[in-house]
Formats: sequence, C-alpha cells, structure tokens
Amino acid sequence: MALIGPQRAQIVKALIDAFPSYADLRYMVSMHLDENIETIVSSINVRDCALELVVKMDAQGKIKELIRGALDGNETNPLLVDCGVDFGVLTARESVTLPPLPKDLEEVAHPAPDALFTSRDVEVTALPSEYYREECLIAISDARRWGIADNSLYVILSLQTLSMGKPVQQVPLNLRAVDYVRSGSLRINQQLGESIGLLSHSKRFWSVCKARDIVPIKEIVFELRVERARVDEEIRELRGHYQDIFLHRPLLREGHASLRDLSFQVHGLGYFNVHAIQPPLDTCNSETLLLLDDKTTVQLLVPHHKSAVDMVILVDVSGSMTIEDYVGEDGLPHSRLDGMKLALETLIDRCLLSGGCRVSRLAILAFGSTTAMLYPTRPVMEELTSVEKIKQIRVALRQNLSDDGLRVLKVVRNPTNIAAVLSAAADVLNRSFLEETEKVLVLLSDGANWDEKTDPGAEGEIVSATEDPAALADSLHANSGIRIHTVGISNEEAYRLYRKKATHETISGLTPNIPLLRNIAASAEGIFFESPDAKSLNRLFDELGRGAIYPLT
Amino acid sequence: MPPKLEKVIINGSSRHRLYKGFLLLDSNGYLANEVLSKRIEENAQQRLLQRLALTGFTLERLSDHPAVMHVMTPFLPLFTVKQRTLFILRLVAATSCLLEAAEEASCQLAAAGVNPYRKEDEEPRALCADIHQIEVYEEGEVERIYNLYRQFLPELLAISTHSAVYGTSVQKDFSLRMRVNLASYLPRYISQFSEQHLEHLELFIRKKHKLSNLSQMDINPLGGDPSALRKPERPLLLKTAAAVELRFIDAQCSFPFIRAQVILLQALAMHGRELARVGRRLFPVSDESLDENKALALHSGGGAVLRPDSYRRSDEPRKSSTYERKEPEVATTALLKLIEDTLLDALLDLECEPWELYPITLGAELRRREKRCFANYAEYQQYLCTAYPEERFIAILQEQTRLLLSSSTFDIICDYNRQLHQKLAQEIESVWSEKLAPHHSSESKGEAPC
Repeated sequence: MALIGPQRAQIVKALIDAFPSYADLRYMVSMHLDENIETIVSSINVRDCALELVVKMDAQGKIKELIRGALDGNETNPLLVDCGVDFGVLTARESVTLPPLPKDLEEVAHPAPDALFTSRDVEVTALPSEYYREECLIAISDARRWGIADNSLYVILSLQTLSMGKPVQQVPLNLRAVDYVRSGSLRINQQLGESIGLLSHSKRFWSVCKARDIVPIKEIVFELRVERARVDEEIRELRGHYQDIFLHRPLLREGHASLRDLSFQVHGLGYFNVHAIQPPLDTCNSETLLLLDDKTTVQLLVPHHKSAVDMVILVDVSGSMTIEDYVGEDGLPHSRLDGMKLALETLIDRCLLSGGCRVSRLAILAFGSTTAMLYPTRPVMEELTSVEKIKQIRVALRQNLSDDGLRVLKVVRNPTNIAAVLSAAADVLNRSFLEETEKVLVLLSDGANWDEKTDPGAEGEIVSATEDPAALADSLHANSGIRIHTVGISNEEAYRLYRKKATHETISGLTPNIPLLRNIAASAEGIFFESPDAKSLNRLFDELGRGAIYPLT
Repeated sequence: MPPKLEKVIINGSSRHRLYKGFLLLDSNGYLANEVLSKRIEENAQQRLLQRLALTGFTLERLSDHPAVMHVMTPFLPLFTVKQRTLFILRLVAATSCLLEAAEEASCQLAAAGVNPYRKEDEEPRALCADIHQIEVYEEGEVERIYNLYRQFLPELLAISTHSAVYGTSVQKDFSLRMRVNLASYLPRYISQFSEQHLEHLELFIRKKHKLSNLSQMDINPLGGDPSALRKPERPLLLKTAAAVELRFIDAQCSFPFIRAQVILLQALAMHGRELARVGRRLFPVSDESLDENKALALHSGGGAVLRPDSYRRSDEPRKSSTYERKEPEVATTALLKLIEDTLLDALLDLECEPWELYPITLGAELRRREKRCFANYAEYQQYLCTAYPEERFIAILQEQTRLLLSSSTFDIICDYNRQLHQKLAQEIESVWSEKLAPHHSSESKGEAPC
C-alpha cells in the first residue's frame, strides 16, 4: 500500500495521539510489533519518529501491521480506531482458515435398513387440519406394497435438518392407510408438515420406520412454556377440544432422554413442557413412543403471574401434639411438637436461603383452640430481607414456642380449631394484600381435631359445616386465591404402634387425621406432605410460585 | 474545540447502552462463589479505573446470583461505522479487564445463557443475559419502538438463543433462560404510552394482564431514567437517558454478533421513530400469537417455524411481517424479510457496512437456500457438544470462548459458514453489498405497518 500525503498524516497524528512520548512509541513497537525502534528510526523526536515509522513500514508493505500493533497497544484511541477502519484493519476479518469441522457433513441421504418407505417414494401434500397432530395418510395399495399390513400404525419419521448440531430430527407419526389417497402420495397434517418444513418445497431427505416400543401414558402433567395472556379461556379451549388436541397423540422419548427433554407441540400454544409423567421414564426403554390414549389423565400446570410469595406458617401446638409417636430420621420416637419444630426449621431456612422460592414476606401463627401471632407479634406480614431476619425469627420462636411463651401469648391449647386459624391467617394475608404476590398457607399439624371434652370412645370430633376446615379452605382458595399446603406430623400407623406400646390409657381423638389434611390441601390446590423432614419439604419450595394444576380430561 | 455538526439524519439512531453478561466460573467450570466473584469484581474494577478510555464503564454483580457479572457501558453513540467500532473495542477492552482479573484468580468467563460446563445442584440457576438499552427522546417513540420490538420479539429471540448446552448436555430448548426465569413476561401491546399517566397504564396492565408493573416484561419501556421524558428542554448527551430496554436475550460470546444485534435494534428503533414522527401506529399483533411464536423460538432457536397471527382479520392488506403474510416462516428468513422490507433505509442511514450484519445475515441467507450451516452460536455450541467427547468439548469451548471474548472481529460461525459454502457465501455477500450500497433507492422500502 503506497500511502499518499494525507494518509501518512492521518496515521502519524493518530500515533502521536495514542503514544505521546518516544518511550510510549518504543514500548508499543517492541511489545506489539516485535521490533526494536532504534533499528527502524533515527530520531527521538516523537513526530519525526512516528513519520519515519510510517514511511518505513509503508515501504515494507506493513502499514496494516503497524496500525494493528498500535491498536493492540491502545485499542480505544479514537484516532487510531479511525485509522483502523479507514485502512481496513478493523473491518470484518477475511475468512480465516479454521480447522475443518470434525463431524461428517455428508448429507444424510441413506435410508435406515428397516425403513418402510422414504421421501423418494412419495410426493408430500397437506392434509388440512386446524390442529397440530402427528398423523399422515397413505394409499392402501402403497401400504401393501411396502409390507405394511395394519391400516393404522405408529412410525418414526427421520428427517434431515439444516442444523449442524442435530442433523436428523425424529418425529413420531400415526400412519393410516386409506382408500381415498392416491398411490404415490403422502398426506401429512398441515400444521405438522409446515412446522417441520416438509411442505415448503423442501428437498430434504426423510425415511419412515416402524416404532418398536409403544407405551400408553397413564397420567401426564403438561406445563405451559411461556406466560399466557388468557389462561382461563385457553384451558376451556383445551378441554373443549380435548379429542383433537390430545387424544391418540404420541410423544417420542429419544435415547435416554429425561423428562426435561420431552415436549409436546400444540397449535396456537407453541410447545408444552412435560412436568410429570406416569409411568416414569426410567421404566421405559430408550426410543420409546409414549401414547396419549383414552385412559390417560391429562393435566396442565399453569405458571403463576406472580413475582413473589407471601407465606403464613400455621403451627399446631394443641394437646395432641405432645404425643410421642413421631418417628424421626434417626428412627426413634419423638413428640409431634418435635416433628413440627423440625418442619418449621426447614421452612425458615429455605425461605431466605433459597432465592429461587421467592418467599418475600412471612408470618407464623400458633394455634390450639385460639390463635396467636408467633412472628411477628402484630398481625402483618414481615419482609424477609436478610439473614439477620432469620436469626430474629429463630430467637422469637425459641421464646414463644415454649410452654411459658405460649402462656404469655395466651394460646388456649385445647380443643384444636383448624378452621379458626385458617380464617385468622387469611385475614393476615388479605390485610397485607399485594396484587403481584402469590398467597400461601402452610399448615403443620397432626390434623387431630381433638377436644378433651370429646367422648373418649369417639373417633375424632364431629364438626359443623361452617367449621369444616376443608370447606373453608375451598372457599379461601376460590375467593382469595390462597393455596394451602399441609404437612402431616405423624400418621395413623405411627399412632397405632404408639398405642400398642403405651402403658397408660390413650384417647382415640388423638389419632392423626391425615384424610382431613389431605382434603384441606386438595380443596385449596395445595400439596399434602406426609413427612416434615427436609427432603420432603424441599418439594414444597420447588412448587412455590410454579402455579396451579388444572385437569384437562 | 467546539463541537462540529458533521451530519444530520432525521429520525436517526440514538445512543446505546449494553449490560454485557458473563458467568464467572472456577477452573473446573463451576460457578464462582460469593467470595471469589467479589475478589474478581474488585480487581477488574481497579483495572477499569486505570483505563481512561473506559471512563463510564462499570461492573455490576447480579444480586440474584454472585457468579453473574455485567460489564455496563455508558450510553454511547452508534451512528457511524467508526462509532460502532469504538463501542465494540471499548467493550472488548472492558471485557479484557474482567477476563484478566478472572484469570488471575484461576477462573474463567463464559458468555452464554446458562453454564455449558457444569450443572448446578441448587436452584435458582445462574441465568446470564445481555441487556440492551436504546435511548429514546419522547413518549411517542417509546410507544412505537416498544411495540416494534414486541412484534419482532420472536425473530430477535430466535437468533439470540444461546443456552443449547447446559452442563455438557444438549438441551431440547435453545434457550433455557426464558424457561426458568419466572420474573420475565411477554410484553403486552401498549396503545398509548405516556410517562405522565404511567399509573393508569400500569393499572391497566395490572388489571388486564396481571403484571404488577411494566418492568416485569421482556421489553421494558421504562429502562434507563424515564423521568428524562418529562423534562421539556433537557440537554442532549447527559450520562443518563430514558431508554427502551430489552432484557430477554441470552448472553452472547462473539462481539461481531453483538454488533449485528445492536445494529438491528437501532434500525428498528429508527423505524419506530419514523412512525412516531408521521403519527402512525403499529397494529396490535395478538398476545396469543406472540406467545406461541415466543415458545417456538425458545424451543427451536433460528430454525423455529413462526406462525402467522390467526387472530388477525383477513381483509387487512399489509404484508411486512410473518403475522401479516399469513404463512408460517422460518425465524431466520422472517428476520431477513424484516431487514429487506422494513429496515434497509434505516441501515443505510446508519452507514451500515454489509460485513457488520454478516454474523446474522450470512447464516440466515444460507438457511433460506436450504443449506446446512450455523445460524447462531447456540447451534455452534450444540454442534461442538455432539461432535466431541465431553472433556474435549469443554477444552475447545473454553479456548474458543476466550479467543472470542478477546477479539472485536473474530466470528467463528461466519468463518465456518464461509468455509462450508465458499462460493455461495461470496454470492450472498455481494448481494448484500449491493443492497446496502448508498445508491440503493428507497423504492425497495416496504410499506410501514401502522
């Protein structure tokens, strides 16, 4: 490149601006051009030196190297950047020689040995449909020619893609042989065909093989991929068109794919993730086709539009909680109160320490016959802002959960009144109402709705409809959007064993009422936890903020 | 020296600010802990302060996760090739401060939506994004620019997905970031934006869409300092500015790719500004349609087949996007059509050189011609993961990430796409040189949606 005067001047000016002293210039030449400046220039005056450098490098055809080296030494000097752009140093790189890509890039145009037919055998046309379904039709004569005896079978279509990372895409299909399709034609569901690019004048190769393992799905919970605008209407739509959207549709488990790797496309809604499935995937072989049939229970998990969680923990301190039938992780019997304290400890730890659960405000209530605030002392929600707050909560609980503490708080321990504490907790939540938060109650109890005045021979206590905790839970969920999770402290079996060993007389009203706890949770779209240990309760935090499950079948 | 007016462009581009996301990882590829990341932050901050050219650049650790770090640029002009080059060079220089500090602590940087090397035992995952802020001057353009970004969110998202590999396993989704980010929602159509009546607007959003405030959406019309919109005679070139913020994109590892993204975002903003000046509005693409296409984009990245808006009336004549054309379209092709039909004039005003867009357009053009190639870095990540055994994959990705983060011009996917389709790539590049040549007439300009 033979520079003209103004070009030389531009580079000299930029060099002086970026390297104002001789020492700077010498350092740059040494470090970034790997040259000794004294061997190139004779002057030590910066301007003369820069000019001499430009002229000599230009004569050697190295002006780009000079600019690149100068930019390496001072990459953000505006005048140097101008030079870099003007002299083609800072534009797109010319294509560099990268090592060849290691994977064979030959087009996958060889049918598998067990292929029934390929793209070379048929012409693909659209089968108009409003719904995305994995279905296609061929002529009966073609089916017979290709050795397909059944008029309906599940197959796997292997399609060449344009992606380097995944050269073949596998799509499960329900293939039907019918007499109204002409020979040499494959009619594919329009939504599916468009989605996988089979209808857009594509010349990509594909082949079809018979699916080997087909497993009916007993139960599946789909999860919306993105927040939806009108969830209620969409759930109605999904229920209304259940047969078209879900029935007899296959999901393909490729290789040893996990639950997270399964997805289900629904026209108009994009993709669903799979949140849970029965039978579990680890009982299925690799390359299994999972089928939604008329016996499958289908549910939809809708993520909440909520940015935080308000949690109220309800702690049962009634008389029945002193029974020592709770079997801890050490295998030894402890009092139910100990079990409850363990659960409480876990909940508090996870509330703040696990940022993912998004519990932003907390309150804890103790209850027996009456209800009292354990933390904070006023009936409001307390912001969880720091580890210090957790320490405060622990201190407050230590003080208040003792016998003396409960006496000071004036908690009447018998009989148990779950309905009253649910109402009180709902009041606390509603008083501190924030539109964007999810409202959650966690009830730690044995469920024993026990009154010491109850006839010792009676199983539990009869309560009136207005006091029925499950009915109240249902109403709180419907009217205030409160979800109630319940944690069972002890169970019937543990209490039975306890009674066997007990030397003194026991009262049947002390039996843990697990069905009641289950009902409360079910009525308020919550989860019932059988055990108060950390392992079990961690699931609660995994579920928090995740949303509600709606049956679609 | 007094400022010199060099050029005036009506409805031109504005200043841009980028929060460039990085994951701080220890030498084994695990997320750095609080102590380590604080040490690296302090060291990198010192290095930044020593560089005069990086005045205004800062570092910020994400409060949600100590291992997520952002290099924040100041608002910088991007009107010309030189300004954009300077922007990227400064960004590379700031990144090198962080890179050096990390390496001094025997750590490394990753620039992807999630950690490609290791799985995290505990939720929440470290989610890493690049956040773009585009300066806006008045309310009318906030509304148009925001709605434009909203309308083309699936296309922008599709090419920007970058979480195809998590813990050395290929994921079924190209972007995990959106899937597990519970605090990010599809932006809803705003028919009229007014800073003064913000409370009404937020109330409407709250009632209709159950979002507590506008900043929860993937595109935030209240980015930067929104109070600047209220000042009638505010001086230009303040450090702070009102901005529309896009915080939905996975962190990118290639600076040429970021440059192309920035240009696209600015060109869209210029188009929005033009609509605002002539008093035209964007028609509302339905939330349902955008929801669906966003889900498709998250799942399939650049290869997603976007669906038309089935909620749109058939008698409406305009045809400048997938939603209006009423036919499904591959995301990369939809983006090319957006550029060709709507953004060419803005790109010409930006003096955009064809090579500045190649990181996005070359792969998209090859795909339009049904060629196997890399459409974005998520596909490259996925390719490496399937082509190499785990240890080799980790070593190669680490080495290449380091190279990419140290260079303003190194673009592996373009180079490989050229290597794979040499002749075709040359043809495509010459076509784009022609399209972006200054003599290109405005006849090609597509009809603006309103």
